[in-house]
Amino acid sequence: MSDLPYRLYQGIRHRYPWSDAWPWYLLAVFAALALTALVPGGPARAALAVPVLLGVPGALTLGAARARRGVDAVAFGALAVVLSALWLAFTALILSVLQVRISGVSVYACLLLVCCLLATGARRRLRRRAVDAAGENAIPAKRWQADVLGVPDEIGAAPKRGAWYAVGGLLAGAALLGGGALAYTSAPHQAPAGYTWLAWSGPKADGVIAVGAHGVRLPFEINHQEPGTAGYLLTASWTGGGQAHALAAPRTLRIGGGKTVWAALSIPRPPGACAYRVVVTLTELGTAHPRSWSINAGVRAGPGSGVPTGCAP
Amino acid sequence: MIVEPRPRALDPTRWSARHAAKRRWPGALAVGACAALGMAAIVQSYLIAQTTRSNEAEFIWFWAGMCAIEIPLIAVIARRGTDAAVRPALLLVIAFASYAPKLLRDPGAPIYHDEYAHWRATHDIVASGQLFEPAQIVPIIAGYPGLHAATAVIVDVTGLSIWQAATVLVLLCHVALLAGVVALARATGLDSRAATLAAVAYQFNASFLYFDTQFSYESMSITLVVWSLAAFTQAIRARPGPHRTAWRWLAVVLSFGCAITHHLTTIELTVVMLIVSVALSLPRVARSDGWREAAATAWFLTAFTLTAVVGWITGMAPDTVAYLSPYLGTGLSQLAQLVSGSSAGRQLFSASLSPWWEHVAAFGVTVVALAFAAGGLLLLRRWRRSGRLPTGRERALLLGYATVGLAYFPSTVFIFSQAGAEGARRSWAVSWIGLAMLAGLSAAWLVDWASLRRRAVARWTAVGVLTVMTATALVGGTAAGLDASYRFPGPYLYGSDARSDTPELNAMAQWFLARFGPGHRMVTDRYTGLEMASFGLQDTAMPSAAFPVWDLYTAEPGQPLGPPSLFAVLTTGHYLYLVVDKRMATDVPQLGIYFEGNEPGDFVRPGGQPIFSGRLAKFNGVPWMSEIFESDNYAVYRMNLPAGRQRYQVLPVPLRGKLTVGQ
Repeated sequence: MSDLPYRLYQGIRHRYPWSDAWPWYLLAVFAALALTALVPGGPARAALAVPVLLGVPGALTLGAARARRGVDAVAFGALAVVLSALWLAFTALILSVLQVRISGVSVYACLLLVCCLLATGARRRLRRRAVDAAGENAIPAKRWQADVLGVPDEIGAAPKRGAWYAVGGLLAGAALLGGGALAYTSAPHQAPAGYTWLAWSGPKADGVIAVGAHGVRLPFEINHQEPGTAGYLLTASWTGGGQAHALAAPRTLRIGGGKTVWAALSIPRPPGACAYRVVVTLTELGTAHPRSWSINAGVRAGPGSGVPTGCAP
Repeated sequence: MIVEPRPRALDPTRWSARHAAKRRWPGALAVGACAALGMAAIVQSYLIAQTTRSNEAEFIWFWAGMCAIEIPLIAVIARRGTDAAVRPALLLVIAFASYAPKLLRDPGAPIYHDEYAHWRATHDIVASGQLFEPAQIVPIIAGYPGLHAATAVIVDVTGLSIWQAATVLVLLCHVALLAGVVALARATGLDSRAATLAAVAYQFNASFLYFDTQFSYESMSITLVVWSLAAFTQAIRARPGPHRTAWRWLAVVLSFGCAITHHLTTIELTVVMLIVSVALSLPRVARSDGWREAAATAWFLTAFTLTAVVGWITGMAPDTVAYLSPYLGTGLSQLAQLVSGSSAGRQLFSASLSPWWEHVAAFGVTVVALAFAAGGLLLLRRWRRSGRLPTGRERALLLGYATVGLAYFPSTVFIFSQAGAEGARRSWAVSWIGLAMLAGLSAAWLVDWASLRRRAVARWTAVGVLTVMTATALVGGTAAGLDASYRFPGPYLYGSDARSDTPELNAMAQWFLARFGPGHRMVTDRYTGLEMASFGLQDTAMPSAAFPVWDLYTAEPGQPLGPPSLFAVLTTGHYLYLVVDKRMATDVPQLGIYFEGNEPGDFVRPGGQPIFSGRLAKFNGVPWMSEIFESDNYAVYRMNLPAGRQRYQVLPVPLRGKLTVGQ
């Protein structure tokens, strides 16, 4: 405990470098943001970086604008967050105007520069205020109300205690929200509806696929995202004249839950110069109302395959 | 500052500090327990909602939880004996807790229409490192990069996923919003109790709980609007010199930030500033020391904001006028038709999944708001007559914000117009700023009045009525906003933005992205398009009368597809894929539209059967289309445009292939 009288002790506290040097401390904190790159990206790095990223630029802006003392703890914190978020957007705009790619490094460099300017501005404001306070030219505020947010309240005029209450409210609110989110995400949830799909998986074709002398292999995949094993019938045909013509011997297969099966349809060089629409169909087995899935593609013999006969537009 | 005189009976100085401390802890624990139980009830309501399309139990649990969290906290805030330093802390708890419904609704991924658009816009900034890339789903957002630029920067610096970064940013904006309302109310002249109650009243507006907590540019801009007004008001109230300059600069920065973030709220901000500036320029109201300088400050800031919004729209987002004007124009004309009797108007809650008592509360909130607003106005009149209402800027500011608040009531008639309803709802987030101040004043007075009743029955009846009014405002405010399908999780609901996302759709989008890469142009319906244009990273068509992609779907089998002009656009636009949701043929969308709001209105036949019934399988026979993917509910077709003269074999010829599995 100090033996100094309370008022004198307070006076010394007010001259303590923290009150004058806080912009530099905040700048140092922001500069240290670079160290978070050592932490793997994700929630761990965010826990360190977000308070700095969404607090420091705004707090320095309030300092540079000389509005820091005009607001109470909650308003200061909220305004600092809002201004910081704006600085993130402004930084992206500045980089865009300068035609610099927006990335972690460029954003950090730009924001550091902004923070340097804001910290310098805040420091100048602090010095000017000290000069004003010491000189005789301090403006009396007789007829003017001071900034309303800084006015002590009707009950409980304790701005410093208010900051601690605000921190308490912040932690309590975050705990309540976090607890709710944790309880909800860890509660048992209904399993989502399953599904099955069938799709071509080979090189994409921009039209009818030309088949060379050795034929063509058309790979496809079957994805069974449903619980349990299911049986399927796989068939291939080509359609023409309103009819389906068998193209390959059908195959039955069983696919386990959550499994993907790769398959292929091999086709020899088709006769003539017409195109053929080949269709692969997958049909569910063992159910009262079997579902089916199909995919199709156009194939035709490559160049020099003769005159189109028996073709329809 | 307006401070209601303290009744003797409530004077906290009469209590000994020891007595107060003894009483504080049990009360604090009880409030904390209520909050914890309330959160548990909300979680329970969401767990119930998962399994049912709509169930009254989910609503009961939800509102029981919300009331258990909020009403005890509001009661402590409203007590005159509560320490002024405690109120903002309690408000912070309310702010965090009121984010829970949205956080639990979609903890892992976007589900609202605009959220998909902003997710994609943020992804594009992260991927390309550039702003102003053409935007999918909601093209206008490309010109307003404030939210997604800030989110992209957080992603770049922290390594969080886009959704995690968005959640952090929107949560902080949400909390800052309520703090901003307190700051604005205090700057206008309310004491801490009335100002905190104003913030409490503000959170009863229709947008607060869900709409302004979504990952959308409005969620950030409404916070900027409130803080712009707080800085604007502080600049007016501050004495000339460095303080006024400081707040003036902050108002400039904040309103410019608003202009780059969202169009409509910035326009609303300008209108509010204009109203306040006019109030400050009325000599009879505002005359006091330095009122001319204060009015000049107000007009300067209003002019700056107007210049910023006009400049930004002209230079960076010229499509804004075309985007916004139909809402106002059509809304007004529909309202005129409604008044003249030539149109039936919009049926409120016609497709709603919520229970009847929510509908009643939705109407009740207007009555409650009217009662509190009238109370606030009567109080101001009484104080003016008794000479306790400060003259000059403070009175002018109160008049200005009261005018803004009263604009809520005429705007409610637009809810009966199909086109105007959306705009009316969106205006409430701003008009409730003024309304909340009047409500804060009257609420503080009413609590004192109730506490002073000598008879216990009268006192508790008054407290009960106030509690019922608070609960009605809490329930009705939200019920007047979004439908239950947005608010609660649940099984798949065809044609609902917020319940259309399924693992199957997600798998299709990811399959497509993995196989073909990003940036392919495709034609699809609204609900499939949300997923394909966001997580699928594809460019979906924006249907319109000039680009009627629905003609592809509505064409009958055997009939030629679409008008030639459509094919010209599809070909020159390099549209390669068409995605079909097979449920279009059987289901009527919950939102009433398959593609966009500008689609023809006859897609559902009078019998309730969709026009697409029996018309979707035709794509398998179209010569220039190939079906490349089919799942239970979706089919993807490759369009080989321009449609060539490819001729297909029709005669039976021997062709034998081979199926191989597992290779």
